[in-house]
Amino acid sequence: MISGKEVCNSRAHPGRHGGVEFEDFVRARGPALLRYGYVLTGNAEDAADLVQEALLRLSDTWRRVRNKDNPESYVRTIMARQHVSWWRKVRRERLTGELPEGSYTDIHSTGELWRELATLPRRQRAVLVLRYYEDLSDQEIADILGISRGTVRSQAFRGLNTLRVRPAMLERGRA
Amino acid sequence: MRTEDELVTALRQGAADAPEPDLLAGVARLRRRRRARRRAQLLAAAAVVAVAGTGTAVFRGTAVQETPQPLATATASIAPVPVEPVEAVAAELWPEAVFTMPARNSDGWRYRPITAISPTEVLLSAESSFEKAGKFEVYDSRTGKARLVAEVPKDDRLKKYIVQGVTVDGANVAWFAYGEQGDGAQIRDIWTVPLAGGEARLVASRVGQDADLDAIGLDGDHVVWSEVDGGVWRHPLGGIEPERVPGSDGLHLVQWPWATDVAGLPGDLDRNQLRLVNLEDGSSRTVQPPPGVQGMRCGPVWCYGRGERGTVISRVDGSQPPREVARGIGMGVARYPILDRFLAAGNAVYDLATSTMVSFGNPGNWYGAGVSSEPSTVFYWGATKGDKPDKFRVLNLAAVPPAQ
Repeated sequence: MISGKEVCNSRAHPGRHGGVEFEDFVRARGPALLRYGYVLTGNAEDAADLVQEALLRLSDTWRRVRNKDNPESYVRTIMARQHVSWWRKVRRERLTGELPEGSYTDIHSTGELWRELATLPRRQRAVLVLRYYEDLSDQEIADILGISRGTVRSQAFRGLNTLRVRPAMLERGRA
Repeated sequence: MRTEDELVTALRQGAADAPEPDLLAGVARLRRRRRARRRAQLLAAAAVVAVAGTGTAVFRGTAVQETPQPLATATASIAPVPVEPVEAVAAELWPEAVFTMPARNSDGWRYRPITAISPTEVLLSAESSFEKAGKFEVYDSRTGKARLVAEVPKDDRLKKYIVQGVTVDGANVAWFAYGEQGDGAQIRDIWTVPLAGGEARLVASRVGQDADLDAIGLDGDHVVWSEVDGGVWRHPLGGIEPERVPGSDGLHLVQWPWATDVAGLPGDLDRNQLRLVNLEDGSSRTVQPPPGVQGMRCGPVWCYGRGERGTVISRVDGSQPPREVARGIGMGVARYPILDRFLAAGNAVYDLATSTMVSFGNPGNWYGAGVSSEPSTVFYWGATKGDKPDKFRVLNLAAVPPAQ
């Protein structure tokens, strides 16, 4: 698999938003970002919106991010923050009718637990996704969401409680 | 109880159903929309200045039965956190208020919507050339048909003869037309015609200093207008002489019977309105702008102005503390609240009754506001992209259901 770092070490075309380099990054990492967006939102349309909004922001700051940070973690951080805070409220456009054919219903393969995730408050779900899908430590989750480690723990505790998942330990360090 | 591993598995399996849209195309589309929105907002900001010279005004009145009352001191501090409005798209939120209509009449003349006269009918001017009104028509979204109200008279003795302010009540249409005489003196002719249709009749001609009109309205069997320098006149539809409305010195018509103490000139945009006067009964309300607010404008119920961080909304009677909403709300061609409930907001309207930002869902990069003298209740945009669409989408705020 190509990493974000490898992609952004390729060529740059100034003058376009992000240029060819940015486009390569989207082609290489887009599917993974969409999976992440889908796990965060539980909804195909919202996932596509979330990823596209975040990529639009990345393309505006591509050169700076490429030089200083890892573009993929930048996008993932934006997505998590947008999802729990302001994204849905200020979104001005709805992307409709633009998704490809296919079934994105939540009924198959993922089972009862996936369906129950949809009942969680947004921040609880985000904490669980960052912990169990992104495999991040509670400190990393706290940094990404801009909340304290204690809040991460309590959010995770409540989410797991709702889902009737027994936590193996109270706080997760680096996996 | 379940294990953490089961949760990990559920998340990974769920991810497998993720959508696979063309992200690059999606990002490009978002970028275009963002640009279009910015352009439309700039356009709207420019239009405020551009139309200000003719001093169009104001709120289209739902009947306001409130008794005049001294204003409570509305100088309470402004709620510090800008309220993020809920977002919605007009055609989804108010399906009965958005319709599609032809962009041209049967002569091939381009329509310019003026304002709504009912939940299904919109008054239009059909222009034989740019801003040359040739006919007034009414389009009914229920039947999908337009009917002729009147042909707009021309006056070949005058140069640059164009229709400016238009107003309508349930019975008549009235408008003033600007022209220049041979000696260069400006003239404004005031015309009227029954809404049911007929021949336009010249009510009055104002020449020279008296010709600088900024707004027009109808009061049953009288036509009323105000002058750019202030002062409101009233003229019987069948009479000969206009009379000055008592107590109207320095006032500008918003929508009969309401008048304001600020003109619509570009230099007045930052000035706060301080009075709202009911010319019918002579009562007056004092407006008290919250500290730091500029360009305060009030209808009978709502006020808004530009605060330091956003748009500040308050009630004329001071019954609610001022609150701050996103900048851009109240920015647009309408300078007063519409129907005592809506504010223009660029490519959107803001519903004061429900605190909802309702976007036009416009596929193109322009939109228009109706051109009536009073605040128009219609906004329109192309049903398809491009500057010259075959069809308009029209938002008729008069058809929006009452707020729950």
